[in-house]
Amino acid sequence: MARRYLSLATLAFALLCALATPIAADGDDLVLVVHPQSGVETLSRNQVINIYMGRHRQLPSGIAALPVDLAPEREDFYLLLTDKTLAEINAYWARLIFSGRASPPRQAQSTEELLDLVANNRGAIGYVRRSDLNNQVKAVVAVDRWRPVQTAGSRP
Amino acid sequence: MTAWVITALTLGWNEPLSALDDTPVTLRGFGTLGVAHNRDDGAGFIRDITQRRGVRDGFSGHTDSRLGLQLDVNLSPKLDATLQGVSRYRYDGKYTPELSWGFVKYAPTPNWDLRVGRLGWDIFMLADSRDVGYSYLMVRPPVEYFGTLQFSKLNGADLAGSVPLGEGILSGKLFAGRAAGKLAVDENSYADANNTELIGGHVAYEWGHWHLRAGFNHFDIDLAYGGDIRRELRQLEAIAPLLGELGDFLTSGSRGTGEMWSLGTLYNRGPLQGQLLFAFTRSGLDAVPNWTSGFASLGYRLGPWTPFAAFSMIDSASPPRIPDPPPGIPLPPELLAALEDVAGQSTPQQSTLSLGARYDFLPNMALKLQYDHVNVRRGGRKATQWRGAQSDWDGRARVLSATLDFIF
Repeated sequence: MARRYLSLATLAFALLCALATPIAADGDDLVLVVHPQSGVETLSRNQVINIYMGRHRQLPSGIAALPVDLAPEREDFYLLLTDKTLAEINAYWARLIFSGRASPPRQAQSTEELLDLVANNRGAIGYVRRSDLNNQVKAVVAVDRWRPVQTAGSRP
Repeated sequence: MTAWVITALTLGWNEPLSALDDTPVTLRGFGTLGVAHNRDDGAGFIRDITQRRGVRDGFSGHTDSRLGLQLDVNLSPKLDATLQGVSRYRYDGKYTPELSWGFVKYAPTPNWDLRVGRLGWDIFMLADSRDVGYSYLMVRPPVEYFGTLQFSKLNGADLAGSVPLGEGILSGKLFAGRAAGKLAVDENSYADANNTELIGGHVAYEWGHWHLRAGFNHFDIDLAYGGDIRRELRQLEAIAPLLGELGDFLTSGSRGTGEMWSLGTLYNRGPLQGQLLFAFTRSGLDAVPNWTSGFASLGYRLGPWTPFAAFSMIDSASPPRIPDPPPGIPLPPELLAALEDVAGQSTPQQSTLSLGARYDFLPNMALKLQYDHVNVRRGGRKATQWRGAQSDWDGRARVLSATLDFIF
């Protein structure tokens, strides 16, 4: 009898481990975060592109937007969001900066710095790995769901 | 020029500098080191009409090399100031730095701003950033479309704003001011544009992969000439009253109005980028006909390389009819020939096929190679787009260029 329960427990434990693995993998995806009182519940890909590319400087709730880049994740973020390389993003910003039109997103050098900025600015928007989320910011949407359909050879 | 290069190098490739307090000051810059080779000798190839000499039968580093420095100061949440200076090859052959931007910007709401001061001439898409080689794919903005622009900056004001519309953003701008700067008429003459009035605006819509823009510009030209052409004009002005309608024609090149309409499309989707721009200029000067210009380009990113192809053209209506002299006043053949030269200066008629590639080997630096096959029709071989064109020039130029573009 005890041996049967032990087998069941072992089986249950093995199943749990098998189920847990994909959850641990989700912990690596990039997630957009905003201030808890930003008034933002969800964001479409177009809205995020408009904010991060300087086309529109307000959150949907009307607050002035303060987009923040996480420097170590910047390359992955823009590939997911726009399917453009950092060189192409930098070239785009060079056009806007040197014609006095707009300033690029604030650069955070670490996850702690970004979370601190977002937690202390109602209009701030940033991105972090899901496993780094804390309860001082609100997660809005996973960037990964906008991953464009890749054809062979289109990624550098 | 050397001092500027040394200054830029000592600043290094770092991230923008920020002050530690609440008023961030940012110093940034851009530059291009370029060399162009024209295997043909018939005429000197220039990038735009502010350049004194062109490249012919050999190499030149003047065509595309330039350096810019920009200082941005955030004075308050709604107030910013920007100063930008650019050093490049000029109408007098020197690299004296000039103020390209110097304005104060007030943003009453996040999506509206008013700028007052020295501004770039935003006549059509990409026009006010054509010094920043790193920001575009080709070695230089197509000469047929951008090279004939007489002005690049103005002293005045502009108002710009944007509002969400459907899936995209609708934006617009209005500007007004007086042109600033000098352009080269030929190797020994220049024109000062400081009294020319410029008014214009545009409407644009950006959504998804598309960016569309329609613009309108009005200019009231008033040029003051200097150098050789000034002496020639003085002589002409002395005898102009004797020449009736012909006299008016000869001295009409410095004043007049005109309008330019433009349409542009940018398409960006992952590795693919395309541009299609078109402009029509109606000239109100007797000596200058209407112009039509445009270009199309396509680039496709393959790893760190982006090969591209482009076609650009400019066409002008028939050369203006040179009025007859009053009866009884014979004109010497040399003067008639000079008149035809003057008329020919304002009738660009040419097209260019360009092939090249951009290589992004560092995050803030790119190497570009480009081959231009230029074909100038007979009527366009005296246009100010070329320097010192020989009378037997067949209108061809094959230009090979390499540039190193960077930002810091």
